[in-house]
Amino acid sequence: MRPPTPREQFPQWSDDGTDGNENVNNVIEIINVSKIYGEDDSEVRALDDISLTIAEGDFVTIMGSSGSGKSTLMNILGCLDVPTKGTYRLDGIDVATLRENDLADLRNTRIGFIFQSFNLLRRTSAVRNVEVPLAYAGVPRRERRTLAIKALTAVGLGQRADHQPSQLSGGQMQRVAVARALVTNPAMVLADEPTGNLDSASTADVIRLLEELNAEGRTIVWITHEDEVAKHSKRRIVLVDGKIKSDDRVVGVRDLPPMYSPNQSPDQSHSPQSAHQAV
Amino acid sequence: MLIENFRIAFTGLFSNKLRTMLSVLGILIGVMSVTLLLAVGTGAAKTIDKQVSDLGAGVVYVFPRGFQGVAQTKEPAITKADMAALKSSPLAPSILRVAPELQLGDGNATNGSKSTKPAKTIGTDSEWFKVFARPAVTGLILSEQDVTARRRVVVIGKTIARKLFPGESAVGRSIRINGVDFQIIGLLQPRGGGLDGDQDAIILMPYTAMTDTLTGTFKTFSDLAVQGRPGTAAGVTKKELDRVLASTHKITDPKKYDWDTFDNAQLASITANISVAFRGLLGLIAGISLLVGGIGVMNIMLVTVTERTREIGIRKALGARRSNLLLQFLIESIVLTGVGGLLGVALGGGLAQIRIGSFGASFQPWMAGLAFGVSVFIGVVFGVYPANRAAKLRPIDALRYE
Repeated sequence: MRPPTPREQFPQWSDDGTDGNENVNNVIEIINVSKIYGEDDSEVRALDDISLTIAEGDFVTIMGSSGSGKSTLMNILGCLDVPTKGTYRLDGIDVATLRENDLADLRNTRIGFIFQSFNLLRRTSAVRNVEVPLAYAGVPRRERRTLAIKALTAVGLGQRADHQPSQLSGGQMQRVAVARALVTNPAMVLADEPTGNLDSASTADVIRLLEELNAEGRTIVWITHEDEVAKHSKRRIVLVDGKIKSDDRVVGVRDLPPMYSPNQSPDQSHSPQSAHQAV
Repeated sequence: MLIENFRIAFTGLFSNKLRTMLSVLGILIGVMSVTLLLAVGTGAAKTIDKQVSDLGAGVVYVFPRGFQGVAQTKEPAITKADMAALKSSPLAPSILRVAPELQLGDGNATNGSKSTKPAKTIGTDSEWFKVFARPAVTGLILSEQDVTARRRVVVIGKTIARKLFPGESAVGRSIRINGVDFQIIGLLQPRGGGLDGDQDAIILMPYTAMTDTLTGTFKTFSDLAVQGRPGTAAGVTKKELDRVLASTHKITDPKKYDWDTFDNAQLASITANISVAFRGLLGLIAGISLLVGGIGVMNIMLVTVTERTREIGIRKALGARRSNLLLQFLIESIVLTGVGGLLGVALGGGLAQIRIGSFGASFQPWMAGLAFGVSVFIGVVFGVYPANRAAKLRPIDALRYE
């Protein structure tokens, strides 16, 4: 029994945005969103009346110190949490109107998550980890395996498909997580400090992979506190105390990421060759 | 996804082998006791059924009604005339045989210094051996001539022979009953213990010889054992018997009948009630142990869900619906109880093969099915709450859980 794909549920969604819907180019629309924890005196505004739109194909870094509300924003963008006030439209649909199963399907097929702590399933091989979102999408077993192997090959881990997470290095685990995030072919990848626990070489690998994904047209929202990472994005948003302090566009949405060209990349020497070949 | 869920369940269960084994053990013991007690209960019921039929297949006993409570002009009695009427009356076409029984209340049999108290000392005739299907294994049974010639002879059961003539042949020897000497002419084929006590601790003699020597002239038999023709319901035999006695005793009002009857159907229904109560009690005990096992499983599942909160969060972030997680943990719980159930059925079925004396449990395939089904059911019942708790977790809370 296969659950309906979001494509069937939400026919207005389209990969190329040519259906004339005016909202289609804005994957994310956040209007006057607040997230408030606690009540009255002990009230904490993690997000304070934020409005933000993110266009399809953009590569956005959201920066800020801890407590600036960036993780809260991330959770709301990923439909893992709901705002206290305000509206969040994903692909033009107000997520507040969606039911739990629809949200689950949305996370499954439209959003790819990459976490700081990798969040791979323990005692589950790399390829099986990558298969998990496909299983929830109802993809048949054999096809699932093929797609997962393909995604692992794309991140340069085709040879380690049967390794357990405990047999992989941090950088490798994060690449498995990237494979898992892209295997369902989502429109948007949400990365929550994905390089926070990685050494510089692995950081470069992950940056490279996400740049490539963006070059393919996928929207990337990357939460980080590292300036080094932000250099690679097309747009830099800085949060302070739950408010947007600055919002700078570096290159156009339709352009390649600033550091994408191998000639310009400062991290070229660290790039995994296999990833180049596969993507 | 279903296969996937089973795989996840096994991965989870294998990751903590000791804990899994202990909760499987809980269910195993529960299911084992259910299986075993079902088998024991059924075995007991079968044994009782057999013993009821040993008392005489299709036999209706007729005996004089007690004096208390019934005003009567003459003493109630079941006599030789009644016996003759029952045997020959055209009113009783279904009656095949009638055997008289005259019971000696406190018999004491001796051989020299050896002495025993028979369970029963009965004065009867040759019909008795046919009604109760008790042939002699050595020597003879009582004959018509023994009765009419009032011979002082006895047929004894194996228990009596063993006690009074250990290691010797009893047939042909002499036995003293309440001070009167009788000659042993036969030894009954052994039957073993029954509802009515040891069926082999029995002495049979011509009722004529018994009145001559032990009881004095009698007014009434203790009872007549009336056997219907094969296939005749006890109710029919009883009806015909009532009709015959109503005519010989000249009583038309059934309320004033001065005899009572008792048949195996009544006994069977009494024993059936006892056996239902017995089985109910066993079932209750087994059910309690299964309940305890189930609570153990629930406890483990709650711990598992808590331990794997982060996994639940990850799965939710990757698109798991509530139903996916509900099913995942439910299957884990069912696998737990199902494995315990299979092992429990195997062990219970194995133990049920052991026989203790003449008593044996009776293990049947449906018990395996039932016990296994119950174990799976327990898995569902005690798995639903923890699984639902997992499924209901908010993704953000689950992901943040450390």
